[in-house]
Amino acid sequence: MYRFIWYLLPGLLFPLLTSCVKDTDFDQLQEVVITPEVDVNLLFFEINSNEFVDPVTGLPRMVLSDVTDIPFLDDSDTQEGIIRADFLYEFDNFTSIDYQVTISFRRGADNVTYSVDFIVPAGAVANPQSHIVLDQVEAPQIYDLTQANKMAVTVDPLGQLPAGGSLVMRSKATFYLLINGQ
Amino acid sequence: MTLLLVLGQLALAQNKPLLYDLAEVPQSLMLNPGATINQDAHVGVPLLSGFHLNVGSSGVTLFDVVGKQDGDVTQRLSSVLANLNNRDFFTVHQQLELLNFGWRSGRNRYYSGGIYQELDMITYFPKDWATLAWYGNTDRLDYPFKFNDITARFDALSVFHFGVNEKIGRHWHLGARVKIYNSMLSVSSLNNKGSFTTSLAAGESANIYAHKLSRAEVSIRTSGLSRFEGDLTPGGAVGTGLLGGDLGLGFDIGGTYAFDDQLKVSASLLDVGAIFHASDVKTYQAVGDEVVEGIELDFPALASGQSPPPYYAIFENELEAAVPIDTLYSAYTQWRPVKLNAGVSYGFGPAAPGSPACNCTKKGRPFAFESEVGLQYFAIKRPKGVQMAASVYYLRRLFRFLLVKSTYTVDALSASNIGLGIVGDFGNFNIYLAGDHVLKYGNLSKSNGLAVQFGMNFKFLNK
Repeated sequence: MYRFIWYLLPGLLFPLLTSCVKDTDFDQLQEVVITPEVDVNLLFFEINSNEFVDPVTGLPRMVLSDVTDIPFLDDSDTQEGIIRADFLYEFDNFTSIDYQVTISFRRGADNVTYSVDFIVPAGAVANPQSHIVLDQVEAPQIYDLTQANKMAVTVDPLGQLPAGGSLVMRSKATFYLLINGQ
Repeated sequence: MTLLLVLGQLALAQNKPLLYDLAEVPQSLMLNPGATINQDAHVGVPLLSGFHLNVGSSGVTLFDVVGKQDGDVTQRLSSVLANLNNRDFFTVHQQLELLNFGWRSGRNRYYSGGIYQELDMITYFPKDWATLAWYGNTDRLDYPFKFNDITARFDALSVFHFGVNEKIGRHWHLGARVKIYNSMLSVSSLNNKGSFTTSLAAGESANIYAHKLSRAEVSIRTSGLSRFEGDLTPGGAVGTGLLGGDLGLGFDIGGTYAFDDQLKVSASLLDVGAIFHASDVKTYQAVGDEVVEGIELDFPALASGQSPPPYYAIFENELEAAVPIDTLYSAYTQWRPVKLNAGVSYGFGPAAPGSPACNCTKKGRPFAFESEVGLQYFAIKRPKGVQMAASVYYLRRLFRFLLVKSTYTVDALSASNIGLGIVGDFGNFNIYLAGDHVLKYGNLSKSNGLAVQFGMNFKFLNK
């Protein structure tokens, strides 16, 4: 009666002893491509009209400029991964003059890898002029841009210095990444 | 059906349904110190008396990720990401008995003891952070990425145990076991709180977005890490394993009530205890609230040769001040994952081969039916709640020396888990081999879990 057991038991034990992993291909993980899109704040400032006068010397400052490190771009993985970047610069101009604004990306002090400049139109203290600049940077410029480790802003009042009010800037970037499994 | 669905949302990790209530295997005492016992003494083959390995993942199989399938692998992984949730988990549990022994004292008392090594890891799927890494935050403005999704625990320890099992009257077996835990390595990140959200500023930020860290409390506790740094000598490893780590104390209790020879119920509570991590402890902790606005430029009037302010360093310093990452060295206590087993069994058919064909239990002698069916329940306390499993089983004592037990288990890993165990008694030599998910053994890549147990003992019966 139990003779069948002698056939059954090896049949039951066999899977335990011969179990395996098959129908898999780990190499295909190298074909994985993910494309996250990351939104981050960048620089912001508010320049009051009186900042166009040097507080020490009392002389006018015809151009204002400032620069900051942005070490997050100065990374080989980031440089290889970013395929496009959309920069958004929002201005509220509470002054009565136009400005030429230059945003530049630099490697080191003087090596400009990418820059963009535009005019921010005049507004008024009680009636600010909003101005939005969208700068889409794709290949091949993006490769130059991502070599930068500094970001600089130059604000050039056109014609005359502001008599009152302020210039406000907000900015953000949308980085389009492409990361593959290789 | 509702019960099955509920169980399907929960899970097992250290469940051993094939060994529970299996009197022919001495290791069943480890699952219920109040189990019924057939032998009068036993000693396990050192290092070979009990090995258990359980690997599992809920919600995804290896085949889902790297299976040879048509279609784009990236799209497939996107589907996996969409289907997993933050209660899905990956687990590895392994036990190796170094020593196991027991002996009867008088008619009704049985002492047992031993040492085993255990490795236990569970990590929940960090859904929010995987989504952030996979897709970014652009299309997920206002969504709070929760730090609670980061939940993981790893423990490597040795356990020294000694227990007693007492038959009381005709119906009861009760037992208890004391355990001394020796933690060799413990790493955990539990009870994290807070979130990260990117929203349009709406007054919360001077820039376009408000990147908000809200009530963030994130920590990683470690104990024993430095023991494994540098060159770990075999002598050092043995010393750490033999009470050289952080110690803890716990107990198991259990009992069995036999209504008669056919029907019995049993239950046990295991690992009620804690480990007191006091030496070589490091806890890395970040706590804080912050709205990240970006970098604010001041356009200072600089004299010739002056450098602009180090804005980025200032930004980093402000962030570190708002959400400091501290390293703490204070001792902490960690509870063991307590487990509950329960079962009901019903014997039927003729007497088992080799068993006296009478109702001998009332005379204090072993008696067993040829066949047995039963229900078993298992629950374990895990970081994100109790995980459960339910099993039905059929046991057949084929010969004096051989029995087969098969189980069907429902848990979070699977609703089609068939288990198979075989126990052989060849003279005094006892051997067992058991495995769950046996239907998947032909291709483990399609299985959500794998559990195997085997061991060898010598059992002795008084003539």
